[in-house]
Amino acid sequence: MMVNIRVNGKQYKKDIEPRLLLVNFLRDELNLTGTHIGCDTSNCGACTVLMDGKSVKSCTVLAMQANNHEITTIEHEDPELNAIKDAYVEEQGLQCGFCTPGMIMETFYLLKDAGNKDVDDDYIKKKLSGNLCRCTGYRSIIDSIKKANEKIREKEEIHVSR
Amino acid sequence: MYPDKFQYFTPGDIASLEELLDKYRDDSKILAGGQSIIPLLKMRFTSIPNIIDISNIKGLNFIELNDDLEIGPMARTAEVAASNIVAMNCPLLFDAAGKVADPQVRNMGTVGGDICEADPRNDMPAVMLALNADFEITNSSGKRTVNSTEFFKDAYTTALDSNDILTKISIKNIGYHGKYFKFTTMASDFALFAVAINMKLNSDETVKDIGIGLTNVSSTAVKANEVEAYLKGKKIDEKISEEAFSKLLNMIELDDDYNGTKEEKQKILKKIFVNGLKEVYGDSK
Repeated sequence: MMVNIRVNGKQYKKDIEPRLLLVNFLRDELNLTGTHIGCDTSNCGACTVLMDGKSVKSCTVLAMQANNHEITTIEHEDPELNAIKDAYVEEQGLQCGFCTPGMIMETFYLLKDAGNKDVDDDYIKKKLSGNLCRCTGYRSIIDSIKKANEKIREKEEIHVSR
Repeated sequence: MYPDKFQYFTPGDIASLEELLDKYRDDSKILAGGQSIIPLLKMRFTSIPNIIDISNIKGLNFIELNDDLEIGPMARTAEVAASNIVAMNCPLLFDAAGKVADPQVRNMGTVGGDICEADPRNDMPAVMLALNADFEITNSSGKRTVNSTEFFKDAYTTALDSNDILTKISIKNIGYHGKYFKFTTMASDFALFAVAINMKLNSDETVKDIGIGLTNVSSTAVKANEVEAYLKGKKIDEKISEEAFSKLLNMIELDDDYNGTKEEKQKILKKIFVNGLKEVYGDSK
């Protein structure tokens, strides 16, 4: 079946099998391998991407469900997303790095979704409950998210590039 | 992991949805958010030849306050958990929706799908039982309303026929106080068990009306009828709560498993139940 999916600002039209999962569409059809497959059972969140600005687990979404929707992945060059990547580097919010694409995409969502709420430990922990990290113990990830929040608010200069 | 092969349909209105369901009946299933059914398909626990995605049908995603609080089958769990209308009129549903799985699953999953899937570990069935909700069910021959107490038959089994569509969730017990007490071993996991409590008091602080639903203590969500009847007209204190819990134990099945022994589980459930009653009673005053 034909799908029309906008990924990172670029429109893709592909003929796919209905059972193709969004994560496989991104990795195998578009070669966007930044999005990782972790548990493949919608537990770990490594495959988190944004669909119309909201975080979803792309291993549990059919590519067909994303038809005519907009997907944002870790490869996107959004300045705020890049500020988050910077913060993860500076605060060492990763060790092996496998969960990191999902962590960063969920961070992108939780910072946007915070509105007037304080981005404190409590808020971050609640919002990060769908992402697993087996290395860091989460402390450095929480610090990275707080740093990212500051960077975005203060519109700090961004260093990360592809 | 890939699901088995299936045909995929995206009807644009209810009439074409009804037509597809009439055509494929047992060989089809409605897909709302897919957060329960896609994992089952991927693990090949089930295989469904015709998947019908209802997300393109307009008018199924609503949260409205008319005489009742009305929720559409495509209202995402995250939308319910962020809705002011729900927060002000139905704190139990508001609280429970925010405790379903994790943020990503809530963004995609729907309250309606949670109900229709009727996994005994799902949160919404117990909440709907505590709220005494009504479900409007539509098929090609018309509409009917089924109360939540008659809806959940068994694990993954509901009063829905293979060509039925859940088109509206109506909650008339609004303006109550309520909370959902969920016990999990991992933040984003299914509940080991959970208690939904919805309560309204008389002016003399006795219980006017109470709804209690339990998740994952039987093959389907449980409505604690006897406990509700016992608590009505009473002021809740420690002694009454413990008596209520002993009545509750007759209505549920806890077994030994890798999460703990029956005794251990009973101990935790008792704590959650007694503290929960106390908390909601305190909020209601």
